[in-house]
Amino acid sequence: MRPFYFIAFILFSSFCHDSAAGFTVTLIDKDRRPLPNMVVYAQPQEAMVLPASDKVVEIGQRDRAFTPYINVMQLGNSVSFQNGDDITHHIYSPIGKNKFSLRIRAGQSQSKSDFQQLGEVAMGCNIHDWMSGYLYIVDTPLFGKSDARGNVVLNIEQSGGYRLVVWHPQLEVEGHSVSQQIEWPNLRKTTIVVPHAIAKISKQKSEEDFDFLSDY
Amino acid sequence: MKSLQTKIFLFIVLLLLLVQSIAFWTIMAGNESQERQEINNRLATAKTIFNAQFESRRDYLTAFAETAAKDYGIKQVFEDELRSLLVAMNNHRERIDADLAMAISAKGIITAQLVVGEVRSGKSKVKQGIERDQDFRFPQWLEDQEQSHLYVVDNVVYQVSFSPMTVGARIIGWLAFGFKIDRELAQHFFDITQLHTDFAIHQGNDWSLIASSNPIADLHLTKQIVENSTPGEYIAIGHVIEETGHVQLALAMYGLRADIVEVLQKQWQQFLVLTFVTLLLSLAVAYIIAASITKPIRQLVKQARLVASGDYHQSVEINDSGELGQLANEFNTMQSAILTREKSIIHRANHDSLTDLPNRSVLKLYLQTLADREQAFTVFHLNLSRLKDVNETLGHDVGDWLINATAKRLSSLQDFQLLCHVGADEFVLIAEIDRDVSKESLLGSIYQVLDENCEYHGVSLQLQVRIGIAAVPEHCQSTKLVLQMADTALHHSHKVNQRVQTYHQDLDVNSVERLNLINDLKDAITSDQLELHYQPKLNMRTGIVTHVEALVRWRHPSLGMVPPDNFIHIAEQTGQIDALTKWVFITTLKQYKLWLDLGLDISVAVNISAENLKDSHFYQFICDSAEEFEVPAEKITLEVTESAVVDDPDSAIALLQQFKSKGMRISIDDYGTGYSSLAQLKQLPVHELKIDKSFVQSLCDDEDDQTIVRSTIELAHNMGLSVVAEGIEDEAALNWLAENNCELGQGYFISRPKHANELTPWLLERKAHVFE
Repeated sequence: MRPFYFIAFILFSSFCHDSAAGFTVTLIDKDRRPLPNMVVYAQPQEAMVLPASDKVVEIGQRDRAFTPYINVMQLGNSVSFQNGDDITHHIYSPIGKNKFSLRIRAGQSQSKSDFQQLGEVAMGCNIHDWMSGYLYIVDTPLFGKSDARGNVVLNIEQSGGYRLVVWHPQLEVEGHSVSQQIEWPNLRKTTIVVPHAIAKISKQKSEEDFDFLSDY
Repeated sequence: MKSLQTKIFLFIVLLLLLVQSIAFWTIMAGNESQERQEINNRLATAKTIFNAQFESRRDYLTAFAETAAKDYGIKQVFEDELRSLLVAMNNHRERIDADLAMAISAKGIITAQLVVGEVRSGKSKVKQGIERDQDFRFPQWLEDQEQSHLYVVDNVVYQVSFSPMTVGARIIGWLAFGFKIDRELAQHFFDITQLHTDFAIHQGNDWSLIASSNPIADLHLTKQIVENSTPGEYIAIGHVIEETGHVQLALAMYGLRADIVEVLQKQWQQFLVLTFVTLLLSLAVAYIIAASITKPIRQLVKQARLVASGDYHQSVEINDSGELGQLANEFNTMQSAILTREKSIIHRANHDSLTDLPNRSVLKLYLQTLADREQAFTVFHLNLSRLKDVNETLGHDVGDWLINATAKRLSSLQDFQLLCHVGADEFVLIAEIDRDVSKESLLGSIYQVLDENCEYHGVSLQLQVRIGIAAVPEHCQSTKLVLQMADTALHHSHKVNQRVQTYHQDLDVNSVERLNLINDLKDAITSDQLELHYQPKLNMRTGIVTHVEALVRWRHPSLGMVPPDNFIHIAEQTGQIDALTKWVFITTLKQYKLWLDLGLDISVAVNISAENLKDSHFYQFICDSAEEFEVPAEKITLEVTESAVVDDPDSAIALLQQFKSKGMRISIDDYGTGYSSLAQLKQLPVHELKIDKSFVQSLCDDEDDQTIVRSTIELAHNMGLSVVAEGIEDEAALNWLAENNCELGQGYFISRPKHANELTPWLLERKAHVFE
């Protein structure tokens, strides 16, 4: 096993704004560059009842690519696979209890709401080997994806201890995730330095692309 | 010493060997390099083929693994129950007849493994591998880009390719397929390359041979090849495929050098045989060439030997228009030239150059043949008289002409078997005795042909000869001696002034002992064998003996008294005359002193030889001796013959003049027998003439002698000289001479030469008588 280093700097802000703004997490790499498109979620550490998320995750297949590449949802939510292309896709995941296989014709969409297992669902297309997408299933409604500046705002309302988890499929660490404990509302804002590298994300594009389709 | 043939042969052989060697080495070097090249090519090709095949297998496996990993069906069952996965995997495995199929989970655990195991009867059977549920031993392989590896399961080496099974970008596991590295593969390479192929693996410290096309494969050899120390009898190439930290696969491809280079070797052997045959042929040809070049030379050498040994009748025939042919022709020409010249030389050697008659050597040979035949024969030795006179008066041309004329006349004689010209004026005629011809008639025939006078430009010349005769076996058996005898007879005829003398034993005494005398004379002076006799000279007017002539005598130990005529000549010829004369002179001077002491004042006369006159120290000796013994010069008379002066008149006259000036008396001995002219006589510084005894001995009976003696006395007196007559043998002659005013007389009538012991009393008595 590779040695695992986790160094997190938590910066406490002495100037606390209104609680309505929620908990802001900023993700930077060890070179202090912002890390976008990272899944961030807060797992309550104590028994508390949180209102479940009712978001429907839309995972599109456009230009023969999963769009977006990384998706996150609370267990129990449903996913709508929307084929935006003019060709058929065969979306599947063969692993674990969440395995599925959906053949979606051009322009159509199919929903799936029976995912049963937390964690990563790696998805591919059986017709287009290069297509790759992830659905990350969490057990909390407090989740989000970092924006271009590496910021994500979690609407934490109940005081208590939370485990803050950062996940990315290519994050080169065990479980592709790092985590830390926070206490809400003592801390309203934090910057997490993710020291691990993010492996190259393979492009969802055929290596030898062809253009014959337009000839029809 | 090496013959020319051997030299040429060796030279050609050396040349051939050199050329052959160069060619041989060149071709051998070429051959070796070709062989090396061919081997290298072959090995390089084998290695290339191996690499290509090995890579091709790898690529095949890789491509297949990749394809299989993307198969949706297998993905679907990847995490299903094992049985489904195994069947799906086997389904794929069968497609390429892979020997190994393996599934590895994302966590690096081998979830399924299929291997093809060999069972009996050549069939194979698929079974589960032993590694199921074990951690995959080389997790780093899964992350590497390199997909192909060597993988050992249960001591079997597989060439394996891994391919990740992905869902999108997420790797959910790996599939691997592999081929065995086994005897079949080795055999495959052997079939292609005809090189045996060994596979060995190196795990830990152990090498093990895992497969080979060679039924008698040897791990040791494999290791040697891989370690690049292949034994010489093999050609080989080794190769190690490294698998870091795991296993090393060693490949050795090899063959027996003999098998590989068999064809080349065969060619090489053919070449060797060809070279050898060529060399032998070349040597044979070289030998023939050398022999053919030298054959004419050998012929010439052989011919030269024949010519050297005197055989001129063979000639050399060489069919060659070149130098050797020319040489042979020149040789033949030379041979005939030599023959001609030799004939001429032999002729010249055997013939007299003047008369072209056979010479003494022919005579000897002929006498030898006569002796061999035991043939009786007579030798006539002729001497042409007066030739010296002719030469001196008419010249040598006339003398030669005269000899030729004589030869021609003698050649016309029929009854002689051989005529030889053996000396200037001497001829020898041989007549065999059994002929019905007498010696007298033969002599007669000789005289007859010589009887007529010769005419030479109006001068009539008489051919007068003396002849000595000797015969075999009448006089001796030896052919050498018979010539000597004839010669002796001839000499005797001179002495006695006869025309013919036949040999008889008495003639020969002196001649025979002559040789001994020459040797004995050397000792005679020192060993006191010589003695002096003195013959008195009588003053005709007073009857008193006033002079004596000293005459040497040799009392030989075995021969007794030897007369001076027999040894003076020898002394002159052998250079002993000087010592002899000096001894005589000194002894005479001593005797003079003895006589003087007895009151006898007698002048002494000593004979001086021609040789003495040529000695530059002689004068000084005479003067010194006279002084030493205190003998007055006027008491000494030196007697010199005419002939002694003739040889070198000028220096002789000068020397005599010195003696005369000194006061000594000079007397001309044997006057009248020589050829001295009156002009010469006039010049001679002499005091007296001594008339030769031949004119005196029969003076009273011969009027001619009387005339000669009388006129000589008158001539001498007119020239102021006194006269001595010798050879007075009777009173009449003594009286006649006294009447004719001859001053001194000498001869047996007065006294024979006597030893001093005998003469002294006689002298004393005579002196007393005179004084009475």
